[in-house]
Amino acid sequence: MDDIEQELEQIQTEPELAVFHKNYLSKTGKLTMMLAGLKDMLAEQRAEAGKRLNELKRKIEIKFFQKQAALRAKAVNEKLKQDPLIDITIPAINQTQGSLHPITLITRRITEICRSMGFLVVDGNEVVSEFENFDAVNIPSDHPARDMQDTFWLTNGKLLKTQTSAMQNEILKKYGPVVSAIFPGRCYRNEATDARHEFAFFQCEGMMVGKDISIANLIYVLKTILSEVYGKEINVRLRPGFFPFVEPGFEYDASCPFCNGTGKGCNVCKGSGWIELGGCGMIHSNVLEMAGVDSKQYQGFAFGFGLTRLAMMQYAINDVRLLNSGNLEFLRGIKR
Amino acid sequence: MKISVDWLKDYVDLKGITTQQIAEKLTQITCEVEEVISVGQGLESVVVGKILTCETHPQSDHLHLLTVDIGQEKPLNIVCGAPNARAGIIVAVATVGTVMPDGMKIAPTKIRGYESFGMCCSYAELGYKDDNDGIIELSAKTKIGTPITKVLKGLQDDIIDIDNISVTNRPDLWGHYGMARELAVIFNRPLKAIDATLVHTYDNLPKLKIKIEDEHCLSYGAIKISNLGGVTSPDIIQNRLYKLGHNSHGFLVDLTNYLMFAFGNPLHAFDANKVDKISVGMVTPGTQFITLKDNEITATKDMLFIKSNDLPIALAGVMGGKNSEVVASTTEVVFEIATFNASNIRRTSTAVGIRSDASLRYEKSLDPELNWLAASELLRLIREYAPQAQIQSAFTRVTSKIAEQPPLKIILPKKMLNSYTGVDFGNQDEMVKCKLTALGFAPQITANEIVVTVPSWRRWKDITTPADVIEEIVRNYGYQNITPVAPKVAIVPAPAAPNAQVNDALKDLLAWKYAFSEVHTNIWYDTKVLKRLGVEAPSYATVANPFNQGDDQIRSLMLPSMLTVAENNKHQPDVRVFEIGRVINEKEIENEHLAGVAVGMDYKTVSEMVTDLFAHLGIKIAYQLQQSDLNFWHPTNHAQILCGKTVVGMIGIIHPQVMSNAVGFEINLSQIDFQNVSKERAPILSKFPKTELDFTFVWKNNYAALDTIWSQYHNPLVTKRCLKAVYGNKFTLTFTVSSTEKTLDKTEINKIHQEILDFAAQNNVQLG
Repeated sequence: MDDIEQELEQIQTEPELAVFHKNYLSKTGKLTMMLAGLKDMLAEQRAEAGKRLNELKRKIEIKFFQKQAALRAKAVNEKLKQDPLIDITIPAINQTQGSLHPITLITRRITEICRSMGFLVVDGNEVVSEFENFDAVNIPSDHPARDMQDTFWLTNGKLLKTQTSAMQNEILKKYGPVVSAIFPGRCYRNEATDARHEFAFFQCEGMMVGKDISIANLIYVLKTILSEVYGKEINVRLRPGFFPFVEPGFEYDASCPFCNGTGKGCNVCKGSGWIELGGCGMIHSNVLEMAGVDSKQYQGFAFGFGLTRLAMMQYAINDVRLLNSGNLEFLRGIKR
Repeated sequence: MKISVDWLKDYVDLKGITTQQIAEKLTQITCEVEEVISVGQGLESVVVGKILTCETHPQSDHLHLLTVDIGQEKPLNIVCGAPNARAGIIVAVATVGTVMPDGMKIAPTKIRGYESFGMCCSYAELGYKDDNDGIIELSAKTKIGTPITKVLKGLQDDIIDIDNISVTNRPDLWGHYGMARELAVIFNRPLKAIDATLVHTYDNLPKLKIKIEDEHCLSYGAIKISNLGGVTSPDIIQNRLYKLGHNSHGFLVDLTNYLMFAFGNPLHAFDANKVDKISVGMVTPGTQFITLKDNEITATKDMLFIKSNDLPIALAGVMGGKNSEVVASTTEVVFEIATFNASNIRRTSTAVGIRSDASLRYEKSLDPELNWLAASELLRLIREYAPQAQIQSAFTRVTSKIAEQPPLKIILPKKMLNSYTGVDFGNQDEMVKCKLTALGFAPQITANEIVVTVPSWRRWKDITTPADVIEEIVRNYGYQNITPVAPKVAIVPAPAAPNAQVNDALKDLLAWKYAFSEVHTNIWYDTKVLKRLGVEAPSYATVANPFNQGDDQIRSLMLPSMLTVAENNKHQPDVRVFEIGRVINEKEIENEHLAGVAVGMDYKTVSEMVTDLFAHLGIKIAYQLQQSDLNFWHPTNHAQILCGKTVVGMIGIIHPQVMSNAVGFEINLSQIDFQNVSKERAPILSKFPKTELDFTFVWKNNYAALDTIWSQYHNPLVTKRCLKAVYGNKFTLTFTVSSTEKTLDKTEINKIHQEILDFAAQNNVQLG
């Protein structure tokens, strides 16, 4: 019996296998014949021999089918090897690519991080009232700060938002007094444009108001957000800064993520190891009161930064005007 | 604003402290230092010399051949062109190897055949003052060979340039004395006291006639001094002004500038012959006034003037008048030391377009008490540099009510200090007391409170609330010493940002599924490009002060902006652009729109895309033919987009005269309620096979009409009907037939087939 198995194993081609089948497993094959010959045996011997013979036949059959499958697969592969070889080094050509604006990409990143930290994300209008943009954030009509920004005024007395702070009042009224929110938005300044200045630019502002919200909390939140944005530990440094809507007010710097704060040969931080990111501070009591928040009970911080600037750093864009140019060659070149 | 470190040392001892340390500390604690500029560096090799001989250069009519003794074995040969070069004078010689402030390197040269081994310098060449009239002539007593840096005090200095914006709220820092006070606090050094009582020495002299007619003048002080003719401006004053970027304008004007930069209070010098009865107030609107720099100004009702016998002689706080300015021959002077209302000066200065050093300071809200300091120092300098001068009047000072404010006390509860900062100041009383005292706040510290009296130089708008006092304490404590602490807030899920999610979904589909590029455009129309394209774009809001003429129409539609972008990209392949942005509609309400333009895509593809975009958000939209009068549409091939019964947008072929082969769409996202989208159930899958029956109909009307007819056909076994294909006026519909209970047999299916044919016949829909 081992001979049959051995014979099967040595078969290398399908015709040989067909011959094997004919010889042993077909209707006239030896094994089939042997089984048929059982009927001539004595009844007591027949049961025992029949069992053995059946097992043997099944075993051979399984091996036969395995052999058959293996030979067929081999044959198919031999044939496929004759197929022409595809040049897999040819790149994609003539593919129209869509793209998202770099500001959208950076805003998503920031808002995702802030939302994960429990900040509400609020969207605001681009045309706002003089009250929202100035008075409500402690910039009265004779305040020098109104000179610091050149405003686009509409003939109906409204104006194009010059700062995302214009949304503070509305957010405090709507969600306050206890609120954590960030509000990205498009702002406009009426000034000559060049590689670093554009009429329209994007800022993002955040605030947290509650009880006992402190400068220590502010530093923590900034540090956490920025470390998450850059995927590495970022240090935050406060310096005195003047913004009418906060007191105390600060400018804040982040340790440069592009040279890890070393400054060595770094074009982004110009070798200082720090990048100036924006302003922040404890929300001025006037701002809280004007939104109906009791400043004796509640306090909080606000911070802002330029999304446009962040995007420019992130994508190494050297001319801000490209962002609003609608230039498809530029925009299509921005990957995620 | 530029600050001289050498000058600061008049008021505070900075021994052992480098300029770098000063700059760092100022940036951390006080204001932003933009730059430190070292002046007079490398001038140690400029030495004192004596001209031994001076001969005329044989080949020149103005050059001299000098031999100069600089204390070495052999005198130097120097060729010099200065008209005042002559034997015997003591000069400053830049020896070989010196690099001059302008970058010129002194090297041995030959000038018209004669060798020269150095250069005799003028004051301007050394960067000392703007005197370029010949070479320096030093006192005969000056020791030959001494480095010039030891002779000319102030030649070497560090100038700290401070970002003006960072001191907008600090009127006290607009002079060297204020900066010195800040450094005294930072480095724990004593601040030199200035005797502000000197001015009272002359209180017995006759008073000047001064009247304040308008409260925008907070205080007005003046003093008359005669015999001031022919005084040379002292070197130290000229040098200090020069280093801050100011040339000398003679002793009298230099004196006023010097005191302004020293204490922050601007001064003005009038020719006393042109000043009689002084009054400060308004003049008749329309009055013409000419400043000493020849600006012609037409007075408005808000402009504050200094008047002599009711005629304007100075535009208060901004600039003096031509009619009363001091000139070289002036000997008798009235010095003005005054304080004006910040907003008024700012408005006037903006209105007339003059930003002087004086107006820059006044608009920060100066302390009227500074007048005394400036007046006393004025008298001290006059005594020192013009001892022959005669004081003709008392320093006469009148004030308006506003200037006479009682001392301002602020109570800062310690609890608030700790809560605001997140730092426990419990054991910091000593530090707090020390810093606040040095800043002039006279603190009283109790168990629970810090009570301060705001010093006059900080109380005008700067320090008004407890939070302001916190800033004073914390900035001196050091922001870097605050440990970040996680806020203790209740954990509540932040409400979703619904429109941000909708926008993100739309943007992702457009960009990644349909290969559109997101662009950003301004909220106003680019009228120039639109005009070129011939697009009429409706606008319901106007910019009053556009940057570019014509760019004043706020958009009510975004498609024109998209057409502009497409036009600007006409050389790019496959232009497909979109934006989600803001518009102002005819009711002057701001809405969020989505608009896009695709060049080279056909109408059907774009409309299918728009359907798909909103289907993703659970919004079913439909199209309805409606003629629009917007001229950028194809005259017939455009439609309204409906959401339910509301028109939410439009779609269509762009008029070929505007742009060929382009399709546009615009949707008002603010009008769609994305919140109340009915949650769709998962489809019920039948385990029995389904059959699809296709019918092609010839139909002369549009698809919507055909759809209306078939929407009347119902059979529970017909589970779905959809449009499969369109060829001209032939529409192929697919009817899906299935049962959830059994496999339908041929007879049953044939029955439905016949039913559909019958229904078509009944409704005059012909089979194709």
